[in-house]
Amino acid sequence: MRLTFAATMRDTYDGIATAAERMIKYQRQVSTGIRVAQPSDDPSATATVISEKAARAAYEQYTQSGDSAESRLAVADTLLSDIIDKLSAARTAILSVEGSETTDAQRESGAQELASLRDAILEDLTTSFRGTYVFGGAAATVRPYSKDVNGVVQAYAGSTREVTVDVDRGRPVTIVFDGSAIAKGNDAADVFAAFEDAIAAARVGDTDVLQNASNAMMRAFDRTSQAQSSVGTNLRAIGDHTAQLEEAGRASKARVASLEEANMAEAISGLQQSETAYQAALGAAARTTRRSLFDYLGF
Amino acid sequence: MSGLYSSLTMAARALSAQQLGLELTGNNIANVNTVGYARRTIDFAAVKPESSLSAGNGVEVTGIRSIRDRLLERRVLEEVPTEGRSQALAEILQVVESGIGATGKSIDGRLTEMFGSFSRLADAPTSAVARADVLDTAAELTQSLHEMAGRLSGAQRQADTRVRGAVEEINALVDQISSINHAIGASGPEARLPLQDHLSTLLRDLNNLVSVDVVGRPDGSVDLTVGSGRALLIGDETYRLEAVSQPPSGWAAVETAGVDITSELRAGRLVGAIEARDVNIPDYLTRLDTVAYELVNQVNTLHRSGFDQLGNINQNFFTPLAGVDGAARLIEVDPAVEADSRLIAAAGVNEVGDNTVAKSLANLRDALVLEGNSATLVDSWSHLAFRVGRDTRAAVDGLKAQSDIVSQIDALRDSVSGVSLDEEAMQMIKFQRAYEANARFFSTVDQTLSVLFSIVGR
Repeated sequence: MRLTFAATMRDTYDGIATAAERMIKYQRQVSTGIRVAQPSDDPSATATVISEKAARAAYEQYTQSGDSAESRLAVADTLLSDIIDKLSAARTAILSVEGSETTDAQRESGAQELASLRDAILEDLTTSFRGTYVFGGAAATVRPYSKDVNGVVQAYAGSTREVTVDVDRGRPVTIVFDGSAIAKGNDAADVFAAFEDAIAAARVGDTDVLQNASNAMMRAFDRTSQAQSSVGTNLRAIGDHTAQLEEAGRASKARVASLEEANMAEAISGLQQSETAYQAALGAAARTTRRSLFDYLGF
Repeated sequence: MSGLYSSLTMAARALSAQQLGLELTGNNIANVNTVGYARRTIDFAAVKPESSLSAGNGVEVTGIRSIRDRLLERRVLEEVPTEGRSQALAEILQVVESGIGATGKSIDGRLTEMFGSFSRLADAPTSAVARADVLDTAAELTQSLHEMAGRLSGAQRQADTRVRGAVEEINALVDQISSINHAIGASGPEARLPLQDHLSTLLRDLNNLVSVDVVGRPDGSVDLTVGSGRALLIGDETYRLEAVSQPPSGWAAVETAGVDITSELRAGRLVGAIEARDVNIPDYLTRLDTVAYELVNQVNTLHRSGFDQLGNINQNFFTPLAGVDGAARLIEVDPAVEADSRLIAAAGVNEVGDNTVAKSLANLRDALVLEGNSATLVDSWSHLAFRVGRDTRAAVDGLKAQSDIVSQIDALRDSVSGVSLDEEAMQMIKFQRAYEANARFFSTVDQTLSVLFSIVGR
């Protein structure tokens, strides 16, 4: 085959261009650490990386929701513990004024203690966290319980609809509670009415009414304990899900890295090889283009 | 005496012939970088002797030829259009690809951010900050969709501009070829050689733009047809292509004599640009519009079922769209909602603390609402990015493969028609030595005659 000047020049240029292109590809990988810089670098990897990053963002969002729910549930847990303590104390106070040998002063003291415990429970059930009432249900900004001018606690004004957030796909957790489910449940009247009855009965020593009030408080105690148990379960679930989400996020990150990021050892090695090839192409070009028969003939 | 005079004439003719050979070598060397130039070669023949006892009459030049391989030249013209198509597609799609954006930071990232803001709203439905966050992320998403649609439409417009430009270039090349046809007809055989070099280059350029059928004439001129045998050039007569804007898009169709031949065109940069404009980019735009349209529909459907902070129901979050077409360009947050974040419906019941709808909106992130209920909105975007990447890669790989084919054929053509400087150096020596030998012969005959004249003169 005849070798012509144009063909030699074209081959020389093609060789240099190919080597330079390869060198720049590795140079970009080494300098950015990214293998897939644009979709055409690896279309399938690009699509997978987009899905993985969206999934990872979802994991992070669920984790944030879990963190937020966890702090709210921690508050609810503290409040429920306090209510349980207050209900126990109230039943003890009722017992202390039930006996026939109780003096008026003791009964009055018991009544005042019951009133104090009622107010403490009222305070717990009307606690707000980050602008919404913990036990106000979906009404959120409506105070669930309040006293009238005579100091009597009014009926539940909050919502019976509880509020949940998702801490993982398909895993809702209640973060705002129906206060009436704790204070009243299926009873005819709420626990505050039981307190009012107990306070009045303590002053007059009405044992039957005191016993009924004590029973109502016991049921409230059970409901509160049940609610606290549920909160505890949810707190543990959040912890478990957070761990799972973090693990899933790490796995997703590793998958994205394997698809998107450059293998630095391979990239650096490739850069060195392509650099050598580029220099060789330049050297070959310098040698092949400066010699022809004219040089040897002394023209 | 007459024999010596004949020898002088023979030597003079030989000197002229070798000088012409030397000039031809110089011409070949001068055109070593001329595109389309086919090396010239000179044909010598011994002049027929006058009688059987004659030593001969020396040499004469019988012709100058350019060395061409018609088969290889035709192969180049067959392969160049495919290279041109791939080149145009690759150039346009690389522009499209550059606008797709990095993974996680383009439409996918904006979608994820917006769903995240709905999730944060579900955590705190009464929070003014969470509501403002929803509006901010929705505005960023709509802005990104507008920009992406704008970039795709811009690439489509650029492709159309290329189509119109290619049609003008084709007409200009056909005009030039027509002029060369005319010049070939009016020239002698030797004068046709440079015209044929130029013609070869123009035909290659023309085929790079659009695949044309070339029919050679006996004198070396050519007739050209395009598409399904539509005349471009018959003799000196040219038939212009027209880029005619078509409603409703306004994109140019290629017409000749009032007939739309766009679908008949086979390959070349013109066809690559048409393909990118009419097939690839519309597909991407439709997919993007579908994502935007479905987003609007899904979000609005949920949003209308919810209550805002003022107790209103049946309020759209996005301004409703009439159809898929242009959805990415037209998507907007409802102006009333944009002006008052309290109108974002987060609640499923008329209670401000409820977050049922906000949760449902956040869960749209995982909802299979596209591609026959098999893909999420982000999945659909990833499929769009995949297609752009796949098409671009196919075009770039196709261009490389086709360029290799054309290079190989060019190398074969060069091996026949190209100028080799080593070979020309040899030719130069050959003609130089022959010239020197003939000059010596001329000198010898001249000296012989001088001897004879000196005897006569005594």
